[in-house]
Amino acid sequence: MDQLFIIKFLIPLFWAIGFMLAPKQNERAIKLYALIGSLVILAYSVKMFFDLPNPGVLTELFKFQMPLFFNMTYTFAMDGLSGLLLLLNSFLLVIVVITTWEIKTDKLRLYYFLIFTLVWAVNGSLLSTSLYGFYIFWEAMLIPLFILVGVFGGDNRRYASFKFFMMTAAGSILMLASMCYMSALAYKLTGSYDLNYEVIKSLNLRFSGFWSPQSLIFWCFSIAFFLKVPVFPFHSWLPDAHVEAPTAGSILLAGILLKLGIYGFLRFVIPFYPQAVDAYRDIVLYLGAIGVIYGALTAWVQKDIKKLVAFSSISHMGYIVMGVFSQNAFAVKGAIFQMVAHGISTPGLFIGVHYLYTRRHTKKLDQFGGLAKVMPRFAILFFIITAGSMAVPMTCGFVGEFMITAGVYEINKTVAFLAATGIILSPIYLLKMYHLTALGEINHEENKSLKDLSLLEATPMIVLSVLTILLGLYPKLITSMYEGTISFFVNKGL
Amino acid sequence: MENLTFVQNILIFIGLNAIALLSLNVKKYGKYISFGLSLTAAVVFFAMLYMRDSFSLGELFTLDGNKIFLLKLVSILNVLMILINGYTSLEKVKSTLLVSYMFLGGVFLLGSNDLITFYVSLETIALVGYTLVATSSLEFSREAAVKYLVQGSVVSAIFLLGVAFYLGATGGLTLVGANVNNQELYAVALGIFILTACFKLGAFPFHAWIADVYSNVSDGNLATNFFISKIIIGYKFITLIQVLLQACDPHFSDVLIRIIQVIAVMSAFYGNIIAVVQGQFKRIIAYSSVAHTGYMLMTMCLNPDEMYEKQLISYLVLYSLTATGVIMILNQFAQLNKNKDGKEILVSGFYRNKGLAILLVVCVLSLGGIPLTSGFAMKYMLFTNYFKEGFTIEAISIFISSIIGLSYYIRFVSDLFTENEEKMKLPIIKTRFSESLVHVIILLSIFTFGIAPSLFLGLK
Repeated sequence: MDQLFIIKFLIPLFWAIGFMLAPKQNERAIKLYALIGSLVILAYSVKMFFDLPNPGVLTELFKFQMPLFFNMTYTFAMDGLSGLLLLLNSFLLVIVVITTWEIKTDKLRLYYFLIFTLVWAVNGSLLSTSLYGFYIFWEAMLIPLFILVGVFGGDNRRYASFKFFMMTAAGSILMLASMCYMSALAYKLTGSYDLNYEVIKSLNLRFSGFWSPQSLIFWCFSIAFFLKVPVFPFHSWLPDAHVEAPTAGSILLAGILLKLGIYGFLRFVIPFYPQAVDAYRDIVLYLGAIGVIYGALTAWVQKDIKKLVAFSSISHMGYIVMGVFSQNAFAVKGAIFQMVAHGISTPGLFIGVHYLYTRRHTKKLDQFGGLAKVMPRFAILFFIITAGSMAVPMTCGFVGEFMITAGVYEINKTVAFLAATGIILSPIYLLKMYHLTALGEINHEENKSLKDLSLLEATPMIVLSVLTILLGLYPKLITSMYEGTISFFVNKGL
Repeated sequence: MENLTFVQNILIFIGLNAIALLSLNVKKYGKYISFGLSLTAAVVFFAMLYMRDSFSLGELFTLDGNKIFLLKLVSILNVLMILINGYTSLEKVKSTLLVSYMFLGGVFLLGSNDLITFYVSLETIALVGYTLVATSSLEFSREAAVKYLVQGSVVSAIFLLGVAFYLGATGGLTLVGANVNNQELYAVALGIFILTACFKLGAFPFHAWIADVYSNVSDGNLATNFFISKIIIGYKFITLIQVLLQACDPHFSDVLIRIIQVIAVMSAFYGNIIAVVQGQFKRIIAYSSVAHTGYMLMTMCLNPDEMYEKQLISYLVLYSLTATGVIMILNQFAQLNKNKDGKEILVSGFYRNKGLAILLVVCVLSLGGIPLTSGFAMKYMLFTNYFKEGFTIEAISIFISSIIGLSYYIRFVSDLFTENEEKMKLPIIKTRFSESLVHVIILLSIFTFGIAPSLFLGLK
């Protein structure tokens, strides 16, 4: 156990509180403080990850009994999977801070406070292996994002933040109902309400059809996670949230928050409800496949560039759900890889959209075109990231989607065929997007005088582009980090 | 002080309040003297309680165990409420006096072991309640009071009928260790008691008075209404019915339990759904209280248990405290919007008083059951109990209804952070010291009980 863990873990929260105590006037100092904070968080995440003795198994980092909260045990633990997502989260924080360096707002302290609190809550969810702890952080993520979208978002932010909050909180309540049920069972079994990993495993919930406890709890948890991912037909909050969210919100939402739904499946559903997972696997696979096609087709017809990227997220997340539920080692490995790949390419696309919006104050696709002529640096970087998102070979997107499709093919050929359709559709809508923004002639007078990216602006896109190619060429860099955990997820925790 | 008997203490309490009432006739300083005496009476009463573990007046009246614990909590809250009400106007001091008598009724209700004491105490509380609503300066307060009075009187009459049935069934009016001679009559009496409890707590379909009452009394009075009515009446009725159900024939008790479950689930759904469509925030809180009544009403169906009782007390106290916090803050926002409790009063609230806005956010999140707040801990506890006792379908139904509840709680947060130029020009909201004190207590209690519910109550 790491005695200093709790201090390291609380750094983002302390940093967030620091923003509220900072003097309002000195914007530059606040931004610098944010940058230093993000780098510190990234540094300790890297150290924590590389200090892991064996990424293949959960290593306990900190554990304490909460005698004052129904004697529950609170455990923080990390394995390759949670460590990888922790790194992604911290990395995206740095990207967010750099990307929005030039942000103009009179509520800068609140802005950074919300971002750092959000990152802290995500870290908490990733590291909690007691269900109660996971739930606390899961809920804690909602509030900062709700306020972030509601205060710093676009014109329709109130509606979008409300919808996002309501839909994800509805799922959370179903999860809470299941937790209360399991707590009651645990009390009968152990005399304590505690819901740590071992206790949940020992509950051995009966499965004998839809109305049996294991089945109902599986669905309660699944709906909560489907809403977060989001899986079709639970996705309707995502396009609104993305369109209205400030860039920081979009980056974190697409980059890490959506992945927490998948992480929830891997950590708290697949190991605990094995019969239900087997029984309902095909339903989930088809939902994933429908999501892939639906997301792609809807993205195709979008006129708003941010909405297009949002729908592409639904399509890509459909792949990941399929991979995870296929219970095939190759596909699960691909799904986890795809989580990282999507966490690089989609934030990259949102950053691109952010730069376009800050220059033209519109997100309409027909307002652009020919930007490669005036913004060549932007055009190149945006192309690399778009290629990653459309799964062009030798980019990170290709590796994940290929592995998932190949793995799913062994389990369910129809679903694999449907998924492959998505691979064809994604270049259609993404190339359309790229074509309408960067290629062709400049038809709008305003676009002729657009400035190319400055070095500061280009930095996050360069980093993401490099990663897109690097992971496409050498995926083992990532897969080696979580390889050991795959058998645990495929064998349903055995 | 330690040697004073309970009767002497009650007499001191009544005496000080009586002098306080007379002092109102003193010119210029009357309200200050009266306020000081009421406060002294409340503090002395609390001090007396603090030193004792039990009181009894033969078989008629007993205060021990959880009852004395609850009374200690309520008497602290009573002191706080007197402080909130303050001495700024004669009306406020008068209402403080009324509330003191309501508190006295609560003390007797809590300790009552027979139906006569029970009935008289209940009516004392109700009468003060009607008066408080009627004397409020708000526009529709008299109309609300009449509604409340008429419905309350009908229910009182029905309750008396229940008392008569109880007498017929058991041959006495004592609530402890009664022998049931006629099960049918006993079941009918119990049914009537359940109906009365539902009315007093504002459960569906006996809730018609609640929204009008909530939106037509001033903050301190309303808060006290919450405390006395919800906490003491809720605790007494729920634990009483739990005990009385034990002596009931299983055939009848099953039916009665089914009725309670239906009312609980319906209250949860009705309260939450109707709250969504309300324009006024106070009415939202009123209907949400119907839903919360539904959540806790299910406790009536559980077997009597020391721990369940403690959990019920915590739920009642913390819910009331949080809801009071919300109402107090709403009143503060409403004052600067020319006393209109419309849809707009919270808009841009965060930019006019950050502390107050954050407290309101914490309070509504607690009411919505978001983790790390007392609302979550209490909900978790209550619902786990329902699952433990096998009320799975009912618990899930209530859970589902609470999803609807989130939609109106989040409206508070959304409004507070919405920027509106016109609203942002309104003056910064200022709070009195006594109000700030109560705010701090509410905030501390929400987080303390949210993070460590077992700290004070010994909950397991």
